[in-house]
This record gives sequence, structure tokens and C-alpha cells, in this order.
Amino acid sequence: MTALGRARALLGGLRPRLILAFVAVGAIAAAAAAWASAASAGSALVEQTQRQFAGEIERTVTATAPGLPYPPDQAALDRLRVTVGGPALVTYGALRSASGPGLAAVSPELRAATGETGRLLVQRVESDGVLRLVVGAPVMITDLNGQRRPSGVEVYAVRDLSAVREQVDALTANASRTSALALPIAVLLALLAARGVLRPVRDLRAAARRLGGGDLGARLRPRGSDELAELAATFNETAASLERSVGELARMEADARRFVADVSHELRTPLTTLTAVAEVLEAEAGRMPSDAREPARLAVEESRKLARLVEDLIEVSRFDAGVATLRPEEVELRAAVRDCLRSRGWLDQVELDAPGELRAVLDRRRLDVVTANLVGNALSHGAPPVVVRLRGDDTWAYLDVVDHGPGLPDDVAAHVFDRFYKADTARGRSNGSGLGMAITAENVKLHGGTIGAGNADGAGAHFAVRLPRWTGEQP
Amino acid sequence: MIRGALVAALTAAALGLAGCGAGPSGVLDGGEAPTGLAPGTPVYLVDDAGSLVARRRGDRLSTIGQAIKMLLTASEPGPGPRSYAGTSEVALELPIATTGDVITVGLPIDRDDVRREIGIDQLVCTALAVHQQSGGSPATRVRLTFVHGRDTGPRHCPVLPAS
Amino acid sequence: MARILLIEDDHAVRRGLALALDRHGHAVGEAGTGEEGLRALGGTRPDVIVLDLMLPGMDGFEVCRRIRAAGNLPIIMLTARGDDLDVVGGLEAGADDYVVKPVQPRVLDARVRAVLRRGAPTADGAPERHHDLTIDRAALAVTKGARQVSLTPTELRLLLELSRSPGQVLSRQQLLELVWEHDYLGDSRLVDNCVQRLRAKIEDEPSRPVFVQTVRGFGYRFGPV
Repeated sequence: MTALGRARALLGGLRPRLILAFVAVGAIAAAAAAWASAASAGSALVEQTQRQFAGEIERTVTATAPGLPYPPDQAALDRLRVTVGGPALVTYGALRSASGPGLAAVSPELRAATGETGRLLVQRVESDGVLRLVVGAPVMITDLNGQRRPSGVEVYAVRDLSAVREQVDALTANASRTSALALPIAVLLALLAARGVLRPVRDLRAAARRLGGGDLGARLRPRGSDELAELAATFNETAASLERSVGELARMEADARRFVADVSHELRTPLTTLTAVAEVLEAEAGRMPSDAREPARLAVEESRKLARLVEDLIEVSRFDAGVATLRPEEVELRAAVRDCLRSRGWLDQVELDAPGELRAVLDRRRLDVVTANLVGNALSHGAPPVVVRLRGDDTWAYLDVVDHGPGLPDDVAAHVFDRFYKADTARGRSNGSGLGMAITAENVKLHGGTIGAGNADGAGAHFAVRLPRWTGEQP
Repeated sequence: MIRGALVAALTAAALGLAGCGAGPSGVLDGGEAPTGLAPGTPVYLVDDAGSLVARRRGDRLSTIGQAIKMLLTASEPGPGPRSYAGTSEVALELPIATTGDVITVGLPIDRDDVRREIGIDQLVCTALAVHQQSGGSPATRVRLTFVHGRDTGPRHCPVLPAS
Repeated sequence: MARILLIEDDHAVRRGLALALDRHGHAVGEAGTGEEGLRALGGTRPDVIVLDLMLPGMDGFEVCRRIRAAGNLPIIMLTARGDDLDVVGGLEAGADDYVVKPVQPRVLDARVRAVLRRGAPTADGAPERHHDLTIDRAALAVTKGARQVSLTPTELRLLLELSRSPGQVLSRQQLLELVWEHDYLGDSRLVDNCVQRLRAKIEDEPSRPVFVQTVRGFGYRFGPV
């Protein structure tokens, strides 16, 4: 995995994502709160300063105006300007009294508005990095009926807001510091919260894993009443239902297998009679009328096949019931295989390729079943020469059966160890019970060995068996 | 859920930053405009019909004290409105005190010097007219005190708006 | 050729086997229950008993034990299940050999003949002495000290084969072929079980055998004493 991929996998987890989200929300909320309070404090400060300046101008002008002649002359405007103080501009028609720096801050729009509204106006103007407050005040005449009208005298005063701005900046900086301080706290809280939130998720994962691993009794303890608790309850219901279904299936399958075993055993008694009688029949066949010989021969053959099928069924049900046991003993493999071939009359048709004596500890009878089934299969489905090869190393004994027939198609190789699998479906019945290869595989498995089916280079089908050389004991 | 919270937090932050008031602005309202300019001091006289009429003296609004002094020193030769508020040659500053919405004017005359009751109205109206024109509240009333004689109570002027 | 008592509860099986064994030249007496079989022993005086293990009433194991208690008559058991419990139980009850149903009559015939051969003398010559054990091959008699040891034909044949060359190891397979005349797939439990019974009869301490010794991983050997 690349570093990038690793990082993505790390961040892709539920826990990192939760923590990130918690931290983000926490930090943003803290920053927002700090900034919002700083901003509102800042704007309150600015407004208060504005109000204070405007009020001062209003009071000063109102206090001074009754002492001024109307219409005013230049001297009156000058007096008003001086009283207002600071950089100020007083106009009346064409008359104008101005002094102090920063008067450029008095904008045309403020002047226009001051002439029209009859209200005191303010505007913050920034130039050369200096923030200034400009107050525009039309001086009113109050008539005896209480109506007010512009007198034509306008007062503009300019005040420096730098100090206020510094205070606001200080507030903002403070807010930033607060936010920064909130970040580690947010991380800490996020870790705790993620832990709390993820514990049920972790439990769920563990339970699901156990369930997947076959432990159908895996259950969760639902805590609380949130979505996760509902999920846990659903999980438990599903697991319980699964357990019921699987249990039911297992019971049914066990019943079916027991049935097969019971039927097979029951068949033994009549088969014993049948076998005995068949042998008598066979011996007497020579003395029978010719038209009775054929049915007698058929009866004998079929009863033998039936006996073999029942034997195989019983053997298979032993494996299914788990009562098949190994009886390991010291065996010399070359001799054992030769005995197997000789007892079945196959020595002429099969080439035994074994370098020498090969001792092993395994179940002699089961080895015989495996060898006989594989060789019998090669002889009936493959083509000669059939070769049985024996090899061994420290831990394994290898038994390979190769024929020189057409080989196994892939779909056959995959199913050749299935019960009642017939490679050549058109042929219908064969001499075997259809269980031989399945029993072979079970016998190998019982030893802790492996079996495989495939094709040999330059030959036909190849069955490879590997058996532990020292079954059930130390070499 | 998480995404929603994020959006909310970001919005709050944006709104907070936008409300920050330490930058340039447009033209904003700053409250009441100043007042107090007038083309002369209003002085109330009585015309032939016995009604109060305002006459302006001088070129500026001036103060309550000066307006009252103008009234007390006014002599009206010939026909036209006249004063019944009494006269005084005293050139002292008049004691004027404001308590709540009542302005108390200490007159340098006796109550008996006010020749008619309407003279009291002349004094009250003159004081209130100056007060209102220099930005004072129309709800303000005036009490007159005399060197001898009973004070008036707080009074409104009958020809000026009272609120 | 031999007198066989066939104890089997299933009528058809009994008749079928009897017919087939008859064809092999044996005289077959039949019994449908264990009790009936035990009663018939005195009358027919069989050479060998073929005994079904699954019998109504007294089961085959019990019948086997009673026959063995009475003497050394060879017993071949018929097991329907062929599983370990049947085989081990039957051998412990004293059976000499077993066949699994459905059995081919010619196999049963071979077993019968084999078990009868064990009781036939194979050699002559003087009795051999091994410590306090005397083996008389001609008379087929074994004495321990002064006491005659009563052995079944199978036990006797096993002792004879083992003692033929003292100190030489015989594998279970060899013993199966020599004594039981089984093919290469014989059940070695027959040997082990018979060795146990033989030891019980001839050893002073069967758990520390002197005459029939186990050679782990190979088989058994007689002595050296």
C-alpha cells in the first residue's frame, strides 16, 4: 500500500472521520462565538463613539447658535467652527469657514444628504489607512409653532477613529486567541465523544465478525434507545433468526443422514439373504435350463451391485455422522499397494512406480480403499497404461495415479469427488456405486491429507493424493 | 447531521464577521440636528384686540434672561402692541433655574408691578419661546417669582405648542 | 464336512446362509434365538458356531460369553453394523473371528475351515519347555507348571506360531495370515485381543508379560524367556 493509500485508509475510518467532524464543529463554533462577540462588541464600541461625537456636536452647536446672528456673517461662522473644535467646516450659502486636516473626508454624498434630510448624519471614511468619523449637522430654525426648518447653516466635523479601531482590533485578536485555545479542548472532547459513539459500533463489528465466523450465538447488549441501540436489537433479531434457520437446517440434514444410515443398515439383513442365495444360484446356473441362466446371472450381478452400494452408503454415513475413526498402523506402502492391486487382479494392467520401501503410519484399510478406487476409476474411465507412483519425504507420502486416456475436462475435475457424480451422464449406470470417489476423498481428509484431480502433461487424468506419513504419531 | 452542524457554524461565523463595525460606512443617521438659530429674539406683546403677538428684537435668538429683560425694558411709543409686564431698569442678570421640566425665572419686580394678568402670559410666553427655539422641549413650563408677592405656578403659554 | 450351529433370528437370512453353507458341504443346525442355540449345543455337538450378535432376548454377546465359559468351541460372529463396538465387544466376549453382513457364503466357509484347521495338529516331536510353560505340538496341549492350560484353538494356534521361533518378531499381519488365514486387510484387533486372552491364561502377570511380548510398532514375539 502506498503512503497516500495508507493515509486515505486511516482517514477513511469511522473514528477519524468522527473526530475530524467533532473537531471541525467544535473549533468553528468556538471561533464563531468568539468572532461574533468580538464583532458585536466592536460594533457597539463604534456606535457608542459615533453617538457620543454626534451628541457632542449637536449640543455644542445648539448651545452656541442662540448667540449667533441670523443670517450669519463670516465672523459668526468662524465662531461656530471654533466652538465645535477640531477639524471642522461650517457653511452658509456661499460663506464658508474651514480649518484643520482631513477635511477631504467630508464626502459630497454626506453634504448632499445633510442639506436634504434635516437630521444629523454620520459617515465613517477611510483614507490613507486612517479611519475617520464625519458628522454632518444642518443647523435648524425652530419656528414659534414648533416646526423646524433648515437654516442653511451646515456644520461638518471630522473626528479620528483610530483609537476605536485599535480597540476593535484588540477584541478580534482576543477572539482568535480564544478560538485557538478552544481547538485542543475540541480535540480532547472529540476523542472522548468518538470513543463513546464508537464503542457500540466496535461491539457491533466484533459481534458481526463472530457471527460471520460461525458463532451463531453472538449477541449484542442493547444500550440506551438511540439508532445504535435499534441497530443492535435488529442485529440480535437477525442473528437469532439465523441461528434458528441454521439449527433447523442442521437438524433436517442430520435427520436425512440418519435416515440414510438407518435405511442402509436395515437393508443389510435382506442383502445377506440375497447374497447367500445369489451364490447358490450362481453355482447352480450350469445345471439350469438355458432360458433360466440369463435371469439368474442378472439377479446375481444386481444383488452384488446392491450390496456394494449399501456398503458405500454406510461408509458415507459414517463420515457424515463423524464416527469414522482412523486405525493407524505401520504400513509399507509399496507392498500395501501391490497387495491391493494383486487382490483385484490388476497387477498386469497397472505399472507401480516406487523407488523402494516406503514406511508410513496410516490406516491400512482406508489406504486400500483410496488406492482401489483411484486405480479402478483410471481403469474404467481412462486408458492404459495406468501408472501408480509412490513417493515420500519427511512428512508426506505421495500417491499419484495417472492414466493415458483423454483426461478430465475442467468441469469434471471440479466435481469428480461429489457424491453420485457421473462424468459421462449419457452412460447412466456404471459398475461403481457413484460414491467411490467421494469416499476416497473422505478417507484422505480423515488422514489430514489432500487430494486433487487434474491432467498430467502428455498423459490423461492425474489424481494426486498426499497423506501425512506419520498419522497420529511423531516420526 | 454533521454536515448540517458544519453549515450552521459557518453561517454563524460569517454573520458575526459581517457585523464588525470598524470599517468605512455609508451615510448613517446620527440623531436630532442642532437648532437655535433665529432671526431675532421673540418678545410677546399685547395688541389692541388684547391678543398676544410675538415681535422679534435684534438679530439673534439670545437667552431667556435677555429676552425677559428686553420685555421689561421695552417701551412702546405710539400705536401698536404694548406691554403689561411691568418695567424695570435693573440691568442685573436674572436668576434662572431649571428643575425637571420647570424653568423658574426670578423677576426683579413686584407682583403688583405686573399691571394686568396678561402681562404674566407675556413673560411666560417670551421665556418659553426662547426655550423652544433654542432646542428646548415644548412640555417645559415656566414659574415666575417676584421680589414681593406670590409666585405663579408652573404655566404653559396659551399661544405656543404645549407638547 | 463340519457341523455348524447357526444362531440367527431372521428366518430368511438363516435359511439363505444354511442353504449356501450346505452347498459348501457343511451340516448346518439352525437356532432362532440365543436360548434355543444354547439348548441345541448339547444335542448337535457342533464343531463351530456362527452367531448373530443382534438377537431378541439374550443377545449375541451374552450367548458368546456362556459358550466360552463352557468350553473352547470356536465362535464366528455375524455383525450387522461392523462398527468398533460390535467387533470389540464380540472379541472381548470370546469370539474367534467375525464377518460383516452381508457376508458372501464362500468367505464364511473359508473362515469356518480356517478356524477348524487351527485345532488340527501340525507337527510332532517332543514337548518344548519354556521356563514353566510346556508346549506339546503333537498333542496340542499346553501346561503351565503342573496345570493343564485350556486354550481355544485360536489361542493355541497363536501360541504355537509365536513359539515356533522364540525371540523372532512377527507382525500382526503375519500373525493374521498364519493364524486366521486372513488376507492382507485383516483386522489387527483380532491379534491384539487374542494376545490379551492368551496372556491371561499363561502369564504370571498379564500386565508384565514374559512369554508373549509386545514389540511396539511391529508386532509380537515369544520370549526370550
